[in-house]
Amino acid sequence: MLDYWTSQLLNGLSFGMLLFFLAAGLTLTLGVMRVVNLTHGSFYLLGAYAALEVIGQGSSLLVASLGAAAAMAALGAVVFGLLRLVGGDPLRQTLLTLGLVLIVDDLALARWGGSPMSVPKPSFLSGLVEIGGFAYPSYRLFIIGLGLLLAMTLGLLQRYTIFGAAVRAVADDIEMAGGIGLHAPAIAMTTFVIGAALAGVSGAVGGAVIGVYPGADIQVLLLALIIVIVGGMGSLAGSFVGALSVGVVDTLGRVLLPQMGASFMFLLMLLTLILRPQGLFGRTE
Amino acid sequence: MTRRASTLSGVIVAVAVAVVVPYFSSAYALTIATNVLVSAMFAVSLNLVLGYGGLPSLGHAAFFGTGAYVVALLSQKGAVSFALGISAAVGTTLLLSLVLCRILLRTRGLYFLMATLAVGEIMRNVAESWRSVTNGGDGLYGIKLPGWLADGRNLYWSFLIALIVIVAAVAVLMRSPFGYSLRAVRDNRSRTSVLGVDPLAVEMAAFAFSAAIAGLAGAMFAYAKAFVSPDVFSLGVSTDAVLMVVLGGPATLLGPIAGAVVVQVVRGIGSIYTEHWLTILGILACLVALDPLRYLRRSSHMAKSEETAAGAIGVPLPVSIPLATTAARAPSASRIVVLEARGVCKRFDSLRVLTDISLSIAAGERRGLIGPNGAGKTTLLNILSGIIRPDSGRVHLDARDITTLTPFERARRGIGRTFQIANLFDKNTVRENILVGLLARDGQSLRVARAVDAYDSVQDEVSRLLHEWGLREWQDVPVGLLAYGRRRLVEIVLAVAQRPKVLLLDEPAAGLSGRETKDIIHTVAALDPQLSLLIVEHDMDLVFSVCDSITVIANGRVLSEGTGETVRHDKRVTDAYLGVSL
Amino acid sequence: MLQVRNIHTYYDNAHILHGVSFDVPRGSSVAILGRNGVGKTTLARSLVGFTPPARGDVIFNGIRISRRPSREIVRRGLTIVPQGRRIFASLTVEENLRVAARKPTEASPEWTLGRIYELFPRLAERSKQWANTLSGGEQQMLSIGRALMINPLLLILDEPTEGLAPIVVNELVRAIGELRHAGVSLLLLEQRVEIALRLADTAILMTSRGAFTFMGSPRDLPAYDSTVGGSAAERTGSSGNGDAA
Repeated sequence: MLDYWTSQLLNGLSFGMLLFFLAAGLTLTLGVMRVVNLTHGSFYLLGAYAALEVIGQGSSLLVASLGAAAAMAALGAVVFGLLRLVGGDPLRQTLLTLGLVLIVDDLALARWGGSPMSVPKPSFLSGLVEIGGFAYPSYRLFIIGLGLLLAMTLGLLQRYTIFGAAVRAVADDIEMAGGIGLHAPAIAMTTFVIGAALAGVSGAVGGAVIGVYPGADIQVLLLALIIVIVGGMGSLAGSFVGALSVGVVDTLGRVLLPQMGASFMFLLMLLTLILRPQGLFGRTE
Repeated sequence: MTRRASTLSGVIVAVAVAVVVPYFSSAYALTIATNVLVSAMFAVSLNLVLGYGGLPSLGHAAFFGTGAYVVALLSQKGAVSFALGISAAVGTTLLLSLVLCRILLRTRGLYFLMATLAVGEIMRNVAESWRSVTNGGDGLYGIKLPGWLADGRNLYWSFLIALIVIVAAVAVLMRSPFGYSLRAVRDNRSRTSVLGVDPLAVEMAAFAFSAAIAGLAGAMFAYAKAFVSPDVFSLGVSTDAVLMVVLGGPATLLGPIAGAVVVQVVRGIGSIYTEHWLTILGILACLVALDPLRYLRRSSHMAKSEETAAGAIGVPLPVSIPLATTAARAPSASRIVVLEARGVCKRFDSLRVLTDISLSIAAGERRGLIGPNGAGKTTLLNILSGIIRPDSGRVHLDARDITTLTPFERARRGIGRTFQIANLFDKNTVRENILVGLLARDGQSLRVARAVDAYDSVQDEVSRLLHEWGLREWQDVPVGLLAYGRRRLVEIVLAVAQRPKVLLLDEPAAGLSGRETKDIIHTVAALDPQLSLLIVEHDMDLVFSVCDSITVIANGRVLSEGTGETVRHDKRVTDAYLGVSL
Repeated sequence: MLQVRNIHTYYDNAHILHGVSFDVPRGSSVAILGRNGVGKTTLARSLVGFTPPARGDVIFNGIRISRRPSREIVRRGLTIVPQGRRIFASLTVEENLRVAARKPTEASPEWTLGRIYELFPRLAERSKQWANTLSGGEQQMLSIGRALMINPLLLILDEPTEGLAPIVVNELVRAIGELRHAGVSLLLLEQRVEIALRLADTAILMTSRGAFTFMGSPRDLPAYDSTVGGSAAERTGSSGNGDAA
């Protein structure tokens, strides 16, 4: 019995880690530039499809992930450029990113069709692993490990490097950041591009678990948004805690009350908005 | 032909065309046309909150879908009358919105957008998971229409009538005080609340009405399609509506309809000729967002504003303001305290901004508040007007404790205020700005029945004020284009027209030229002698000529208090300004 | 070093600066005095690119910087210690300093972290603390230190002593004096005459909308009664180019 709940908890954690990949980039971007970006889910979608292509050519998951990251980084730079052109009006930003999502959806459907696909796992991660007396899929453990690694790397980067300090400075006071010679637009773009790359990697890595299909981009976008609300905009720690919470709540919720479906994490989000609108780690503006 | 006449004739032509469409259409074309009407209704509903209200809702499909499902569910029990179906749909949606908006309207901007998006998805999930009721992803069939509506053409015409009625209702609403208040809240929330209008009440009402219309659109959809599935709640439906509203022109009556026509026609016709009509729609959306034409528009707008500004600066402010009242001011014998602060403290993070501030202002008294920069003067004003709360200490108005009241509640009780940077409804004319203020004062801001033009007594008062303060020739100029001194004047007129008991003036002379400053001094000096004033200022000419008494604040504490002469010769004050001997 | 030629700056529609012109020679220290509201901060913001001038020119070190982005202006050596300090709250003291670090553009001794800590020992003590936990005076020191880490040729200080206790003001004046001796050109914007007397070679008296009624040695400042506001000349109504009516 304990094994069952432990494995469900691990499921929740591994799902949460994937969500963290998605949400981390989004929350950092939102902290630095308050911009509406509906394309974040599209980076997941295209990252997963790209990984499929690369693995289909015979490469490993590692190469596929790197490829997905690079491709999404490039696409992210393009989207950032377009957002800069559009300017500060949230309605226009919504319209632009919406238009991009429509284009991506249509072209992806044409290229890869409508049936759900999943990214094949590497053979050495396809098996089971013994944990304290029961067997658990090694791929999911891999995801948890990768997630922790990513969280630590990002955390260290943000907290202990000068680049991380510069990002925080731009988020604090963009005008004054320029006033000490920082290139705020470049910093904002780098953050955006990193976010897009991370979403691409989540597609490559998570594509084996969540799968990829038309409509996945919207599903994934919603998940990321919920985590950003729960965790707090602009906070890396917030997105980590938020992602894990949402992952666990969703998985356990589905197990306990399957007819509620995905409503649990939405309820979590509503609860956050009622009790603490700025999120767990967010700033009161 | 005047603009109004040409718009009206355009509308008549459009309606005429719409009416005859069924006679010339194939069944497919009629379906598209009916879809257009349904989408237009939905877009009109969204425009209410998005365009006129400035609330970026990406989850309006929640209401659309609710309306559709109510009709579908009722039909499962057997044929239901059309009227009952529609009423039930609208009623349910209305209830749902009242519940939701309390939560949603606690958020602003980006958060609001994300929250509404999530609400839409929750509904979709509920519809999918609650199989016992909604039949899950398979959807509900069997939505029957009463006999005469089963004919596609009759259905189309009924929808057309409904759309015309709703658009007419929105038109009436937007010309009523409520409509003005809604746009005021969108353009300048803080100013609206300081005028005594509850921004939250306005937004909630707009939201509820919008949801009801969206529910109606959803019901129409269910009847037209005879099939409802959870997709009706999908993000795609919400974003389609956003596309229609922004494409067609937000905050216009006919914009959402134009947008609906374009989007549905592209979809309908595009899908015949190409598989990639979605891409076409997407590119269209991107182009509208990027709006290459705006660069052309901007240069012409800038030329216009400089013109008006250049003209505005050149004309001196008239000194026709009644000066008799200045002489009539006798020192008030009885000291009835009107506004009082006791022991007010405030810190921001680790910085102590105000420490134990106490001050009291009597009826008719004119108090100046001066001090070096960073002393906490604006913070004190913000605490008195309710924009921020003190950490400790109380604020009393007429001996009633108002420390916890919101700005609009204080405005209702008689605290008026101007801001350091003229804070007005820039896109509206001088006349409209004052009108909004007077309607708020009379508690008429939420009225919907009459157009503002019909409020004769208020309109007369506006005209009178404009004349008294020398603003008549500027009454139809958007405030944003006025010279700064004149904007400051409009702000003061707006504040005074509220008939407050106490008027808080935050640096009325800031940003004014020497000449404009002299005029402002005149204006302030000529205000009603029974009106108490608290003036934060740096311009000592103004302070010493207008104020009976002065309070000096330095480093967050009251340093000195007394008449102008007393303060001017107080060594502590001169030290504070010059810096203690180094 | 810095030449300001006839700049006009607007804030929204308000015409704040009406044709301001002045010079700051290399190695000198200029103080612009004026009561609040005359436009000192708008002037500072115009020079450093936060609120660019609509018309007119600003030439720094021979290069036209009038409407360039702030980062470019700052990298050329014109830095600002803004009113209200504006230190980065999400960074520690040391991070605030390090994030601004830049190599000196000319052969003059570099402002290193060590040198800043020597100038402001209190910052050294608090180097690992979050910047927003510092007192007002310490934040001001941090703001100055941060601007120095850019190795500026000219430092603009906008009301550096505002809202600070006299003891702290003393310390700051001493530190700014040291900057002078180290060869940094200074443009000081102040309300308090005393500060200008201690720190500036040249004093300029600014009245409404950027009109200058005095330019010369601080010792020769006319009876400047800052409490009442403005000099005797201003009060009798002979203001310069400020009235647009």
